[in-house]
Amino acid sequence: MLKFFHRSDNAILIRRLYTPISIAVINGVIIPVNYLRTSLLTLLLLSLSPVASAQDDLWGALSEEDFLADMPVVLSATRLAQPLTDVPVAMTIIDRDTIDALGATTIPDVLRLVPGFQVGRVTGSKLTVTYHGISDEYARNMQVLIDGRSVYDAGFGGVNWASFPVLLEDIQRIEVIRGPNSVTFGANAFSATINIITTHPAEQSGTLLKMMGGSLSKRRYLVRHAMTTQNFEFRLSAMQEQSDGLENHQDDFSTQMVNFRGDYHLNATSDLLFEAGFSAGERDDKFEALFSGDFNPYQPDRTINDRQSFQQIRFSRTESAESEWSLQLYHNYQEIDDDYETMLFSEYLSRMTGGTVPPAAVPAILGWSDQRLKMGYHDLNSERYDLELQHSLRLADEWRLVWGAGARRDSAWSLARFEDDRKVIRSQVRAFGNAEWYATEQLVLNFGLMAESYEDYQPYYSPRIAFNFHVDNLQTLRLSYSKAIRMPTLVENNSMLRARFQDESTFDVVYLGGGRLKPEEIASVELGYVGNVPTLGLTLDAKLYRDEIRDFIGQPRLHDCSEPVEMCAQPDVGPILRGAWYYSNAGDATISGYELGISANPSDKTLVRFSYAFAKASGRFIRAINEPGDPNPIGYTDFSPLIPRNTMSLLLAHRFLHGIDGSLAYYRLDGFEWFGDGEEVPGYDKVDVKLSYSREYFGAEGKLSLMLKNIGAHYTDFRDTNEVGPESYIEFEVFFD
Amino acid sequence: MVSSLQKEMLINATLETLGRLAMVSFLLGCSVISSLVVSNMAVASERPKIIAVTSGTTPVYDEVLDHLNKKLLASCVESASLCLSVSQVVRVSDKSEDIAPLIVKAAPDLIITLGTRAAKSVADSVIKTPTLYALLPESAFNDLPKCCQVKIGALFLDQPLERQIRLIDSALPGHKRLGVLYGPSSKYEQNRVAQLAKQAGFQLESVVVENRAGVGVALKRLLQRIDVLLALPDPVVYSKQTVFNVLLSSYHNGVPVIGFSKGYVKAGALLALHSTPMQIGEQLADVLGEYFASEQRYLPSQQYPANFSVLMNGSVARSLKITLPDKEKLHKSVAGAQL
Repeated sequence: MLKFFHRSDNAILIRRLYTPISIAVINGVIIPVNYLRTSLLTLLLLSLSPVASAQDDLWGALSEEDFLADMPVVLSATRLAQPLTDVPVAMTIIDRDTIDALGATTIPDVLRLVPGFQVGRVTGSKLTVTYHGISDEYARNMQVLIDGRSVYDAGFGGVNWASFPVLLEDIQRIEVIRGPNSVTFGANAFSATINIITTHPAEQSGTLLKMMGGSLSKRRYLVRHAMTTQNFEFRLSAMQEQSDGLENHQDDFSTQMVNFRGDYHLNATSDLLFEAGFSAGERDDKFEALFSGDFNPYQPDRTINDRQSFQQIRFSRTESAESEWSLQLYHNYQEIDDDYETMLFSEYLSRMTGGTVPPAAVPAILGWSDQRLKMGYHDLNSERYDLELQHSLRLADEWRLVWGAGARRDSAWSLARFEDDRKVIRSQVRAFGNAEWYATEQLVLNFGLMAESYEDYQPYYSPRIAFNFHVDNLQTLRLSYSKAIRMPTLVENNSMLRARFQDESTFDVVYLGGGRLKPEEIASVELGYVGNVPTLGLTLDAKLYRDEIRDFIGQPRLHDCSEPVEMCAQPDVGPILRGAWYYSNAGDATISGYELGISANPSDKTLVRFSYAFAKASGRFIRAINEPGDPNPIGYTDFSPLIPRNTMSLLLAHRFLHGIDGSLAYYRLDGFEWFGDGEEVPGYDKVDVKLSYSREYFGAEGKLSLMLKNIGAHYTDFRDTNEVGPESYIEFEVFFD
Repeated sequence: MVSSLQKEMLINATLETLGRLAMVSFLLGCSVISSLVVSNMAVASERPKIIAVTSGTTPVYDEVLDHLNKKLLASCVESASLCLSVSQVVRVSDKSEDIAPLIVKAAPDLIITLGTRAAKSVADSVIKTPTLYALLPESAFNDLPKCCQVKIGALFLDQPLERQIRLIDSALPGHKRLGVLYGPSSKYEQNRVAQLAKQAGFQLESVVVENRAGVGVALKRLLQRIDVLLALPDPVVYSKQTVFNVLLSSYHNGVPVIGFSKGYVKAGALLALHSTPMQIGEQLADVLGEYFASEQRYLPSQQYPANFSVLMNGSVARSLKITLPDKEKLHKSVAGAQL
């Protein structure tokens, strides 16, 4: 086995021109050599590689054992999707077929199909996804889980979709819970929850190779191998991607990713799930706005390196379809390396004045010698450990219960972002219970409570109660009330982002944390309807809602530290030269609206999905704390422009004859303002088309796809300078056993 | 009243004795290092001697024997007809040896085999005693060497295909595109399945795979063209190793699976027909009763389980948005088809 590490005859070493990673081919699995030496996964993989025992084909004859053998519970309650008519919240399910039909390459692209969801393109590779607007590049109001593991970054908040260590190709389905859901997932399942379920490796057995290329110098390569042995199924996926990013932008990027999932069956009732992943990205970044002119000395052209890794292990015991235990431990790690130096003062002054300012003149003008400053706008490391026990059971025919308890430790550190490079730590313990009671044939009552206790905070309780009334076999009315919280992120509480002199002393404070901000709170009332038309395979889901948000955490512009601001009271807050952003509880909002989602399969060859959302917001929040003497000491802004009024999507997909599949997707989004580094952008229409041709050659399945995106469109996304135009891609994939 | 109470007491007492004897014989069996275990029970000399050969120590064989003996005893008490019982149990272990000497020594009038291994041992032993092969799949019975026995009969573990087709027809009336994935053991059923499916108005799609490696791809293709999958027992296609793929892929394609065992329904098949050890034991008792009651000593050559239960997985049905008929009704309509 070890000989593979010496790259003997069995390992073919390839150095590809397009990628800096060396890869080795081992038993048909391509593994980047960079990871080979260190990866325990590889060891595990190699030890299991000798293909399934030859024995099983010799078992031969059928015996009574085949009839009498006990089988593991495969479709356990956690693997079965609950029908929409029974869930206590509005939910949208995007399945594998829809993902395939779309031709999307990122998860956010898929989420455009969900009613009320907006996707913003911050840079070529960085995307932000939000439900009901009010978001910047970090959508902090949504919980995201992959196979029960929260990937919400406690540091900045939200999810780093750019280096998200799971592949779209490995996703079985995405369940989007549209509405507060802290009652099951805890804090930050605030406005919505994205629950990603990956495909069981048993279903993927074989090798998939995929490559894609097209506009903006995009190249994407993917390889996956999945195998089934007696008691163990696993997959290993690897992906490499690169692109020039948006036009006219310094946002070239490349991402590499490896992901592993193994399912080990200890016996008929007990299983062990192991998942691990690693991703690394290099992203060019620059931010022009903020300062006058077309440059920003604090955010120059630079390359940000990010890395994410995770390990997850879950033991589950399915005693019967009625009782299921699980114990899970996971670890997430994220590193965003964004330490850089600004331009020289002399260079800055020269560009500002349009002339030439010699270095020797700088001390006379600024009072400092000519030098570069140290900065780290996005620099942050964060880490999470989480342990959870859960038990779901059926108490009686009409009672179902899920309860559990967990503990979590989040930490973040960054020389640039926090004072003295200290590690900011937050621990949480939680307990929860949710019951489902079939009160009568027609009425289902759902109620639950999540109790969370954070260090330095009082305990928080997030309840939910929902009535699902089955009008008949095909229609359900739902009324639900829920509350949820969003914890201030570690950055929001503890920021001290400064431009620093070479000796680490502060030149200028740019971001200030709020100290101990109150969590945002949401209370939501929702009236829902789910109707089915079986002949068309149609499900219609409608929702009318009203959300009250309290203590919205904003980032008002703080003119200087003359105001009585908590963070300013600290002795070592340096000067605020050009105003700083100050995270604070800045206002209350009310969002109301209605949504419609339709999914239909009029035939087994046709797929239709439609979504429409209307939303409006009222309320205002503090946008600026102005200079002393300003007639308006506090500047307020309405929430209203931060939410698009209308959001719409439509997908039509059809399987034609002779292996030809086609799909047409149309999206419409009204203009609205992105927060933070974003701007107000006009509405846009977007049309995507995918055509593909599948054929079988010598037992291998090949597929060639052509994807045209934003046909005929030119629009700006997230901010004025992000111009998006037509893009076209071609993709080839082959799958063999 | 009194007499029936007495009868019941008698039954209970006899059963207790039998149970104790069985326990003693079991302990005795454990102490014997030999791979073969013989347990003796008291036998009335005038009764026909019936011995059972089982395929090991798995509880299911004892359960079947237990119900067989209970039923025999009950009919003995009720009708005062010929009182029968299985008087000796021979357990065939892994390293099966020639059991012929043991059988010859016991000199039975009839042998009942339970399970495939027991069936093989008896068939291989070239004994001429009439034999009733039970608790084995039809294909295993067909594979047995049948050279010497004068009279043989079989009670299969499989549910008859007609019954299974009827189940799909009754439970899932809208699901007309029927898929079957055959393996090396089940491929011989192809013609019968095709004929029955046609009669019942199904559009049949089927694929034959020769080894486990082929299951994944075959299944993937099949699932795109069908709306119900009938799983026919085959160790290559439907094993513990493939169950995750079979059930997950089917579920994700919205295709319900009709399984062939309790285990499969527990795992996630929507429906299955299943005969319990009690149902099989009692049917065996009926066969024995008729056999010894008839003058020609007629042994029905091949039988399927007469009684069965319908097993359903309610959570899977709910999740697939399938409304199943009431269990009793379904059983009735499936059983009705038998006649």
